[in-house]
Amino acid sequence: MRASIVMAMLVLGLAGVARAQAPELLPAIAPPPPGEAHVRDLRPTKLERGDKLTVELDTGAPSGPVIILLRPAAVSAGKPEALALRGHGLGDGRVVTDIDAGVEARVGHDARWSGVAVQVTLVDTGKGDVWAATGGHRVWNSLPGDDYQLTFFPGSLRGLAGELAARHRIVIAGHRVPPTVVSAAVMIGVTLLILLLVAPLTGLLVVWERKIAGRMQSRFGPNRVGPSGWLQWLADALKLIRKEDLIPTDADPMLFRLAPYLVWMGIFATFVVLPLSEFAIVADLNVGLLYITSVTTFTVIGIIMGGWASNSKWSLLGGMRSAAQIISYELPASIALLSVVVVAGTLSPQELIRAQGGLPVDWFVFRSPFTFVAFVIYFISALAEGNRTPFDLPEAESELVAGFNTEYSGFRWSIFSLAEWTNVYVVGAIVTTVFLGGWQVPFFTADAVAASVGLRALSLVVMLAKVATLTFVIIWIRWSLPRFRVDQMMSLCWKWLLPGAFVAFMAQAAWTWLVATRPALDTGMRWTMFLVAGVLLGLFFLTLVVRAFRRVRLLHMDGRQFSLPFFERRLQKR
Amino acid sequence: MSELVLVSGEDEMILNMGPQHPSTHGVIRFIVHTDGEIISRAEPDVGYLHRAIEHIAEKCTYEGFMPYTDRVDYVCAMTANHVWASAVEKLAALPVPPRAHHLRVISDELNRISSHCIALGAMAMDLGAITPFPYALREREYVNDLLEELCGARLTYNYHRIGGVGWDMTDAWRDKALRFLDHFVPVIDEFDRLITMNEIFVKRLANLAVIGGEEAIAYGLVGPNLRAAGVAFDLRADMPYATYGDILPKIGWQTPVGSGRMGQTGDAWDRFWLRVEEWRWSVKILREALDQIQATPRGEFLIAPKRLRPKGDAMARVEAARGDMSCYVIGDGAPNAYRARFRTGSFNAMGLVREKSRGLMVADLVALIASLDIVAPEIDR
Repeated sequence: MRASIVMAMLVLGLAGVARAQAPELLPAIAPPPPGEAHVRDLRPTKLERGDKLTVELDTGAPSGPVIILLRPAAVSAGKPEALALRGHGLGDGRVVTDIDAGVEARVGHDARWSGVAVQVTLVDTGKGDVWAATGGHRVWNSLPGDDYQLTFFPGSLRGLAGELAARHRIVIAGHRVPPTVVSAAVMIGVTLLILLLVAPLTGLLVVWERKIAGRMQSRFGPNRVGPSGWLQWLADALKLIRKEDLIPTDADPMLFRLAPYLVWMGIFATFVVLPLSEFAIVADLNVGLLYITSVTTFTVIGIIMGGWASNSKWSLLGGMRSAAQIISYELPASIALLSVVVVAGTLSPQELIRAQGGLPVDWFVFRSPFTFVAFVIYFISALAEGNRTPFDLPEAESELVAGFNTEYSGFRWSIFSLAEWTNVYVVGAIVTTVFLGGWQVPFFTADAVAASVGLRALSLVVMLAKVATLTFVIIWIRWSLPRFRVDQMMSLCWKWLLPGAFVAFMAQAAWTWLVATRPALDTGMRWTMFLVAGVLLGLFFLTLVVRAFRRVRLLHMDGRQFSLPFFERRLQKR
Repeated sequence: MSELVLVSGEDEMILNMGPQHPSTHGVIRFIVHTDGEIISRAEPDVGYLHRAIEHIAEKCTYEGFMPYTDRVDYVCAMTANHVWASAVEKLAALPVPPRAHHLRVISDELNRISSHCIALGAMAMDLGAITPFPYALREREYVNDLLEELCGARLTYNYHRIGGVGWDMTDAWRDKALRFLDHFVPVIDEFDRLITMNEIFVKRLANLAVIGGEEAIAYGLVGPNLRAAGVAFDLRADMPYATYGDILPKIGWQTPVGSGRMGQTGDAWDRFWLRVEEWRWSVKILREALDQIQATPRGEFLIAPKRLRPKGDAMARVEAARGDMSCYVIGDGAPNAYRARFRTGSFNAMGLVREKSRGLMVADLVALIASLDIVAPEIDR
C-alpha cells in the first residue's frame, strides 16, 4: 500500500512531498561525508563511469543479509550480472537465496540490469536492523558507451521479511546536482512521457469509438480531419482548449478546479503497473493489483468533488450516483481479481502474465469455471466502475443533463473525458493481463520471448491486439444497450455480482487446493473449459453475428446505406 | 399556473426539469420534488410553446389557415391538415373526390410511421440506448423523401386542401412507396430485436407507470396510450372516416391493445410495444390503400370550393399519431372561422404525469414522459 502511494506521487510529480517524508522514515545513519549527495528514492539514478558509489541499506529486517550488488563478471560473454536482492526473482526463474555478508554472490543475469558493478560489503552496525554497505568503490563500466542505471524497484523486494525494505540510501560521490532535483525532474519527465504517450492513444480511441458508433448507426463517423478523420481528436482537443473556461458563480472554485485532475490522476496512475509487453512496464510492483484497485478510487473522489462543487442539482445527483456505483462495484471487481490471485500466488502484473501461457487453454479465464465467472463479473464491474453503458448513470445525458460534469467546459471537461476514455483502455489492459494471458506469445515460453528482440516486439503486438479487441467489445456494448436504473444497478451488484464473485473466489481457492496435487485434473478442466466456454460459446456468438450481418445485407441490398440522397440511390440500384 | 408548489418540504429537493432539458421532448417544464432520486411529486408546467394557433384560425381564411395546422403537431402534421380539412368540409358540406380520400389516408399513415419513428427512437434514447434513435430516424428519412416528393415539404406538409389534397401522386411514386414498405417490414423486426425485447429495456419499462383502462378513460387519454391501457378504441375502426371503412375490413383489422405481456397491461413497455404494432398495421393499411387507389380516376384529387362562407358548426375527428385529434369549428358566414378549437392527445397525457410520477425515480419520470409520446407544441398549440 505504501508502495502504491509512493508510485502515485511519482505519477503526480510530487517530488517535494516524497522528500519531506523521507527523512522521518530513515533510521539514524551517520551522515555522509561532505561533498557526497544522497539518493534516497527508488527511482533510476544515472551513474557516470568512475563514480564512487556508496550504498547503505536499511531493510528493516532483523536478520539476514539482503543485498548484493554484483560485478559484471562476464560482460564479454553477454552475461552481465545483476543487482539483486534476496528473494528477488531475477527474471529467469532463479531467486537470490543465500548470501553471506561480505561475499559476492552470482545468481543470474538479466539484460536489463547490466552495467552495475559495485563491490559491497555488508556490515552489521550493531543496531540489529541496519545492514550498511560499503563506501567508495569505483563503478565499472561494463557496457562501453552506456550510462549506468542503478535501480531499486520496490517490486523487487517481494519475499523480504518486513516488506519495506526499500529505504536504500545510495550515496554517489561526484554528483553535483542535488539528487532530489534530479528525482523531481525524473518524476515530471515520467509524468509527461505517460501523458504524451497516453493522450494520443486515448484520442485515437475516441475517434475509433466514434467511427464504430457511426458504422453501427448507419452514418459516417468523423472523416474530415486528417486521413479518414483519424486526427479528429486533435481538432477536438484544440477546440476544447480554446473554449471559455467557465466556473459557475456559486461554485466552490477550488474544488471545482481540482476535481478533473483527481479523476485524471486516478486513471492515469494505473499506467505505472500496466504492462504493455514483456519489456515495457514502468514498475512491476509486487502489489500491482492492489495498487490498481487503490488508485482508481481517486476517480470517485474527483467525481463527487466535481458534482458537489458545481453547485448544481444535476451535478450533485450525478456525483452521488457515482459514489454509490463505484464504491459498490469495487467489491465484486476486487474479489473477482482475487480468485485469480489465489491461482497465481502473486499480485504483480508481470508475474500474473508469466503464470499464464500464450495459448487460450493456458489463460486464467479458462482455468476453471470459477475463474470464468470471475472474468465475467470483473468485466461487468469494470464497466460499471468506468461509468460505461449500461452503467453510465452518473452522466446519464437523458436524465441528468450531463451528470457530474454538467457545469464543466473547455479544458476541464476535456480532462474528464480524457480520463473516461483512457479508462476504456485501462479496463481492457487489466482484463488482458489478469485473465487473457497478457503479452504471452502463443507457442513460445515467457523466457523465449524475453530472449528475442523479435518476439518481444511481437509480445507488444499481442498485448495491444487483445486490448483492442476488448475495447471494441466495450464500445460495442455502449452503442447497443440501454441504461440501468439506479436501483437495478445496485441490486445487480449486491444481489448477484458480489455473492457470485465471493462464491467464485472460495470455489477457486478450494479448486486450487484440490488440483495442487492432481495436475491431470487441472489440465482436464482447462481443456474442458476452453472447449465449452471458449470454443462453443465463441462459435454460438459468432453465428449470431454472422446471422445479423446476413440480415443487414437483406435490409440494405445495395450496400449503399450511407449514400445520400438515401432513397433515390437505393431505388435506382434496384 | 398558480397551484405549482415551489416550496419544498423537509428533506426534499426541488429539481427544475426543463424547459431546457434533453428529455422533455420540447419546451416543457417539470417541477420535480425529490427525496434523493425518488420523486414525491412532479408538476408539469405547460405553456412555454403557446402560439395562439386557434386564435389565428379566427383571423385568416379557411384555406389560409391550412399551413398553420402543420404547427399544431409538427411531428405528425398530416393529420392536423386532415382534421382541419374535414371539419371545414363538414361545416360547408363540401364533396371530396375518392382519390383525395385515398391520398389522405396514404399520407396520414406515412406520417404516422414517421411520427412513431421519432417517438420510439427518442424513448429508447431517453433510456440510454442511443443506436435505436438513428435507426428510426433513418426510416423517417425515407418517409420524408416520399412525402417530399408528394407535396414538397419534409416536416410541415401543407398537403391537404379543403375539398381534397394539393397534388396527385404518380405511378413512379406509388412504386417507391411500395418498395419502401417492402424494406420497412424487416426493419421493424430488426428494431424489435435491437430494443423492444432487450432485457434491460424490458426490465426498465415493465410494470412502470401502469395506467389502467378506467383510469385512462377518466383522464381522457387517446390513441396509443389509451389502447395500451387495454381499451380497444381507434377512430379509424370505430368511427371510420376517409376510406378507412373500405380498407380496414379487407386487411383483417384488429385494434392492437396492450396485453401486459412483460408486466401489467398499460405499463410503459406496453405503450412502447403498441406503437411498434401500429407500424405494422400502418404498413398493411398503406398496401391496401395503394392498391385501392388504382381504381380511382387519375387527376381527380381536388374539388376546390368556389366561395367559402359556411354557417353553423361542425366537428371532425381523426386518429393522429398521438390519438384522437378533433377540431371543432364555428362559421358565421364570413370567410374566416368564428371559432376553431383543436383537441389533442398530449395535453391530457400531461395531466396524468403528476398522478403517475409519485414514487418514481428521476430516470423513470423520463421514461414515463417518453412513453406517453408527448409532443410539446401539441400540448399548447
